[in-house]
Amino acid sequence: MNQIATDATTGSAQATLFADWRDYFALLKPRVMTLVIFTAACAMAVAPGKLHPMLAFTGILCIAVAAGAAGALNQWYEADIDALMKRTAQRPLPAGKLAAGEALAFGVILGTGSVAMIGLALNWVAAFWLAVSILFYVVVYTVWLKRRTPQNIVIGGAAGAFPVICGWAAVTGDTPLFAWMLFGIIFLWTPPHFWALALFMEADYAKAGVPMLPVTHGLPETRRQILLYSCLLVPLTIAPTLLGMADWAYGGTAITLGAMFMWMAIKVSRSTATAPSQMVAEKQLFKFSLLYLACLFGALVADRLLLP
Amino acid sequence: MNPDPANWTDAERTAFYARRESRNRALGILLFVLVALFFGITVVRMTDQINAAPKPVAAPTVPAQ
Repeated sequence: MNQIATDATTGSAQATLFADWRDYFALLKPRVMTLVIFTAACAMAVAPGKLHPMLAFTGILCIAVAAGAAGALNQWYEADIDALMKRTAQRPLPAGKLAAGEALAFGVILGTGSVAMIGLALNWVAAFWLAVSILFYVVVYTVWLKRRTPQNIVIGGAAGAFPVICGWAAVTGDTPLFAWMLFGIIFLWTPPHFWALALFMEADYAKAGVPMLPVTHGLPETRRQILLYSCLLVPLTIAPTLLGMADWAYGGTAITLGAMFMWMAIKVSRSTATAPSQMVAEKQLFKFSLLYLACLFGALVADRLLLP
Repeated sequence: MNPDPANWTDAERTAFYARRESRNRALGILLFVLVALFFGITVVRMTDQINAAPKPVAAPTVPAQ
């Protein structure tokens, strides 16, 4: 049973009750996992070569579990700042549903288990990139960057992009240029997506002392950076078609969605709203960015699998 | 919740048992799924290796004199 202990240094609330399975599941950050599963599955579908459905399922499962392990370790390390933010205060550790040691052990076991399993069932190249993705998210993003630099999201975005590399490597055993282009798309998509959120959650981040760009450089600079990264993102999404790696079905989708993304980014850059309730353009961009990535990868899969 | 189980109320004790049961059930299902998964992976990998192995060449038959 959880030990009852008030941890004043970490800000964690008391562990109050024997943890339920739902508390462990919540540690995995299931919402983040959905995006990871989707992008990794798309990369596996697009990668040349065939994989037995059982092995493909195993690959996706390992990538999802590894993402969950990284999420658990992130929550273990960040319990103190999670307790200060409204959005995260109800997570299992700050809410006192789990003890810190349980979350740490859970994350380590799942992380090592998923890496070993993908290595044994598929190949060790995929296992290597999976281990890199966990370590990058936990060590580079969570421990090193998040509390030190406003560029945390930019470099940390790579952690969310590694699953496509793992997915591709699971099928082919290598990581060609196209796989790294998909990596680049997610890498460049992350800053506009998270900064749009950070704009209307700025007060929460400031309260927790997290140096997000709106906190350290202000709202106008964040809006300028969103536009800058959008300008880099949209051409990269069209590049696979221009380089002959994808057909025009994907290219057309990328151009259309890219134009919409740019239009919303321009709206955000022109916005002068300071109160979260007035930040309509920012909320619109945040929601659209999720749809944007899903449609983009969906179009890529359709382009590769459905069209002759 | 009281830190000492000896001081728990009936409601606290019931909640504790309910949570422990749900966790044990989830763990049981997880273990079963893992066993099925490892079995499936083993079958697929072994089938791949059997299919990839060189087929034995039949010796030419000599017609009876």
